[in-house]
Amino acid sequence: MKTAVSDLLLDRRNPTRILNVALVAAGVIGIGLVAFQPALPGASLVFWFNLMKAIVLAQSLNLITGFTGYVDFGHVVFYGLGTYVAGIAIGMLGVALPVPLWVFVGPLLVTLIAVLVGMPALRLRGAYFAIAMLSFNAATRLVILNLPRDFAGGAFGIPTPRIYDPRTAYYGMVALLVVITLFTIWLGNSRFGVGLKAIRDDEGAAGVMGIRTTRYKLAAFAASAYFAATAGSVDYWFVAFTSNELVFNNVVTVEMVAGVFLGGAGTVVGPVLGAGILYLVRDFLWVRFPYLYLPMFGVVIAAVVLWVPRGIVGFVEDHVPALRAKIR
Amino acid sequence: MEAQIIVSGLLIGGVYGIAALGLGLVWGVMSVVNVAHGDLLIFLAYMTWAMAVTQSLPPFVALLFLLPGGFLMGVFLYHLLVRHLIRRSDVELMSLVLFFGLSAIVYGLAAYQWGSDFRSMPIPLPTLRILGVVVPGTRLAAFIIGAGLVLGLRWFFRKTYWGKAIRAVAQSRDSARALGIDPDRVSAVAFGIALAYAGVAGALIAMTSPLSPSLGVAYAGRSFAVVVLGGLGNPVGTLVAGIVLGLSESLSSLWITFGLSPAVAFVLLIAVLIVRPQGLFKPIRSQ
Repeated sequence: MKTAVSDLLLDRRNPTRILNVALVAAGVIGIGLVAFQPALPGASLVFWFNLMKAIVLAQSLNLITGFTGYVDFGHVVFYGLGTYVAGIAIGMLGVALPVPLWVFVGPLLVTLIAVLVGMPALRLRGAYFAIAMLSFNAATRLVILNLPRDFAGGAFGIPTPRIYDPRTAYYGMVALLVVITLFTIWLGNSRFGVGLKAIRDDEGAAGVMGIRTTRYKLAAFAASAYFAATAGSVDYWFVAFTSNELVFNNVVTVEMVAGVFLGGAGTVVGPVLGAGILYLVRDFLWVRFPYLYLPMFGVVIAAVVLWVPRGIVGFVEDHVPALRAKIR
Repeated sequence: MEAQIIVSGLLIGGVYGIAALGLGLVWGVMSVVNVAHGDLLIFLAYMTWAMAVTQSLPPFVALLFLLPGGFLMGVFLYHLLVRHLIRRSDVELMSLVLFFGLSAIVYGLAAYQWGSDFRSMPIPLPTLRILGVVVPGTRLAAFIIGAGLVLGLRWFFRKTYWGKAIRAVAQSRDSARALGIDPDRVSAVAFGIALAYAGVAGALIAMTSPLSPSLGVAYAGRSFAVVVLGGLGNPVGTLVAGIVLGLSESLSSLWITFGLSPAVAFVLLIAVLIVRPQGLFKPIRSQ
């Protein structure tokens, strides 16, 4: 194990060395986030929490869209269902499990929904899948809105002031960020991840090569949904409130897609970079031009597709020859 | 009650048909999936509203401005966005993402300009009563205009040079080029027609229902369901599929609940994709 770690970081022949160094740096920053949390004033607590949330959400979309090539325009649905799984269980039904445990276990229900939806939806390709998911989000929002009010809160939403504890919930998001980062690193180097990329590049050929495409796609979709849902549950723990206008909002999907493609779809560091940069830009714009930040995100997406289709990571690979061989 | 519901569903179905046509045309001709279609429809609907309310133009005159206006907008968008993309091998996937970006831009601008409150305009035509069924005159006119233009497009594809050229490009860009057709110009015209029809559809939407920028997603979902059911770029198929969707929505609001009717498009879309993914009608590619 010891040699494996030093190989990953120091061996110049290792193709992913640069990425690994970057990730260790990210890990150090993550530990920093944990250590300095008690010193943060309330406002920056929200800032750092939402930054981590944006990265987790972008990375979760990356699992299905970047690695597997299935563009999901309704991915926010899993985030939204995650907040509702926490809200309904904790706020309405009073589940017996402690909150910090439930926010990680509850999202498994959303994963189950994702598998049930994925079985028919992942048989669709390209635009059909994207649109099916876009409509699935819209339909889910309506269904939740029309559920009985004493179960899902209706248009009012579900507040649970008694669990409000942002300083502890903050650690929940740090943990989730660490887990999804490790998972994505593992995915980038694993047989499973290679299988997903093969499906992305040519699904028919991947099937012929003996990859069980349906299982692979479903597994990637389930993982992707689990992480997005857990981000939702932890967010519920953080703000102790959810309402369907807020959490099934397509704007969140736009942010995820912009983050993934700006950074570089199908890479490990891309979505972290992309979502991080966009979050900082958004934080800057949101105060000054509250209405124009959404069009600006759209411009980012369009510009990336037209001029740097492989995102920041791809751009660096293409234009910094010294890094090319190492990143590849 | 049933007769009333069926008439309303039928009439709104004509609007759904013409609303979806532009999406299917662009998809069928150049493999570009315009996810921003719903938001563009609503944007153009707001243009009608603005002309009718702030410039006090009769809505049917505003509609005449939107036909050429939409066409120019389409040609402009084609040259700005699509032309660079269309030669790439992953055009369908990348156009999806590109137009998702455009969708955010258009939606954001509409919300910025007009706010997210519902807006409606005075209904220009009187309501009729035929055999005990209430028929709003505006909806009837919207249906006739929508259905008429859709059938006009069928004539255009079959009888005119440009229509035949568009079908040729849809079948094969390279073969069309070999025959002396410039695929770029033809695609630009097809994109223009798509948005001209979206302009008319937007005007009809503005006349028949209150507007809010968030309607874009609902119309995107509906348009996709209609296009998949009716065959990409098939005018008659699209009209029939629009009516099927209109009827399904109004019947579901009678039998289940009104609040869920926007989810009908989703159920219909999934059902068609699973049971009969090639749709019910031939796409423009194989006509």
